[in-house]
Amino acid sequence: MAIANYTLSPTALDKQRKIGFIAAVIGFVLLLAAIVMPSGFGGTSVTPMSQFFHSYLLGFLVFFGLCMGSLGLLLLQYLTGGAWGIMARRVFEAGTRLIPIAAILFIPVIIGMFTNNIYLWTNAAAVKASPVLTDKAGYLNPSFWTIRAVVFFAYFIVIATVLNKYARNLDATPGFKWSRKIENFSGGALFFFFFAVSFAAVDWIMSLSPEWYSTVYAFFIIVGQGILALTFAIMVLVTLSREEPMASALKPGHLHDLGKLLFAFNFLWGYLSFSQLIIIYAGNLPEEIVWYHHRIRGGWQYVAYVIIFVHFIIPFAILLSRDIKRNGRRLIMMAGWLFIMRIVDLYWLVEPNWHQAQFFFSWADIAAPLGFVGLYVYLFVGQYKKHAALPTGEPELQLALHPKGAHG
Amino acid sequence: MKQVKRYPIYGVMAEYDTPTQLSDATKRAFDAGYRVMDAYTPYPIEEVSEMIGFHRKHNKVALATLIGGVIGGIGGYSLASLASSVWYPLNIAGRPFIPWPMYIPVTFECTILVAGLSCAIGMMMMNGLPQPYHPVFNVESFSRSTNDRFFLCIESRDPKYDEAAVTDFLGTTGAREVVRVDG
Repeated sequence: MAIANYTLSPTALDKQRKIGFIAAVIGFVLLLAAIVMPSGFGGTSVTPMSQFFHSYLLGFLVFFGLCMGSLGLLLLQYLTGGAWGIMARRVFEAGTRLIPIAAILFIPVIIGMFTNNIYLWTNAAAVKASPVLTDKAGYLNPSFWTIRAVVFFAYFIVIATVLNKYARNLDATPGFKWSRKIENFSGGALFFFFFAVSFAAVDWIMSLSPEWYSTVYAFFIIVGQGILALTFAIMVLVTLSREEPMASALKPGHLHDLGKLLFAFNFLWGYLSFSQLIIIYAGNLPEEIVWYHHRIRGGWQYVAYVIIFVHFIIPFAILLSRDIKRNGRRLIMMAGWLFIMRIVDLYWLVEPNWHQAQFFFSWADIAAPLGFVGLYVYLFVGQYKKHAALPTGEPELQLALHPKGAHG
Repeated sequence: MKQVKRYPIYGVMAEYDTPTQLSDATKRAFDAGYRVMDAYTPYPIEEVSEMIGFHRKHNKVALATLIGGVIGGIGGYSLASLASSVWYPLNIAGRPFIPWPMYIPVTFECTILVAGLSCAIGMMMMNGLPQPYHPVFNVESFSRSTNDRFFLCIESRDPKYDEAAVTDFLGTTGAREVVRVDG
């Protein structure tokens, strides 16, 4: 096989970029409109300002999940190797370059926290009334929370920068020297990555119910981020495979591997979510079960049913099929499906915190994910097209491109 | 033990030096319309099973596994729920009489257990193992199939089978030797 440079055509993904831009504009305009007018109906309503910050947090978590899933999977594929990782590496790499943007987008969440619009533990009266929150105040307080957020982002940006720098070095000097270096770096980085994302998940999502806790929570958030980034990578790769150079590079074997991974991640997510449910259900303790009560009553139960069947059971059954995993047109549909379901699941985790008794719908909760996903797509395409579609310096690239789709 | 139906002539077998030759020949044979064939290699070659149409021939092991899984799932859930919700309803800490989340682990384990067993047993029943005699053993050089040679055998059960035509066809695929296999 001739050594190709796998440069993308200049117009590749331009249509998607344009759609992303339009979605971002519509989403953010609607989201900002939610500040000045009431956007929801049903249940107990909150002030438009609070609703804006709630929806903003939801959208931010989608954007952040895409970045973190990309970073985690990038580290993982460097460690494990394998053809799927080499095919998807550039997609993840471009995702990690958007982490600084995620850090900037986090500023409104900090503002929402300081202005007492998002988290209950910022409310001095609520903390005083609850002995649990008083005890937790040493950890859950605005200044320490902000310092931690800065530390997490600093860590993510540093490892993303190093990974990208090493990847450029690998492009410049192909061979095992830099690929071994990246592997060794990824091992240590992945170890602390899990700590950092776990603490971030506890700080930013779990602390929405500050009296409640679950030890498996952070882990299924991480796996959910993995699903987001993986489905995104599948969509990008299958879209690119409609034309050269990816048309001849992407084999059914690669899609099969990505499909199997998607199946495994989705199953792991379901398994972890269910572990949390069964432990809390078996214990039936008032301080734990209340989290589910807010999510399976007053209309929220229908969202939960949708998640159980449409996020887990039906995709589980469909992704068992070998033919669907090997067929790009079908796999991209499954990827899009699970991508949307990830947003629904985040919505179900986040939104009932402020509307515990009764289902509450706000169009800002649709506008925010739309805007953030659009922005991500727009920025992603710009980053992705800076480099070749495949890591040309990778010593195992030719092996990965073998017709049968080596499992290397 | 499954009795293999005896044909006077089992088929025509070609011998190759490299796995690449074998997989190319297999692909050509499938494209030429031959369906009932088998490849014999010293180690598993994934692409060859692809090329003899293994997955396209409606491999029934997958179906057996699925049926086993469904039976196991229904069985596991019934086992738990009939015992402690229907026949002897237990009130445990005021939970509903059908605490379905508690039954999911049993259901899941039984699904995997029965699916795994039906996969293994179904595979053994359908591939005819254990099978002490096989016509391909009549070819003298076949003993090297466990060592360093790669074999493709187009069987006489194939609707398109014609001994002279198959022999000629295999001769054009770069085979080291093409021999008739007596049943």
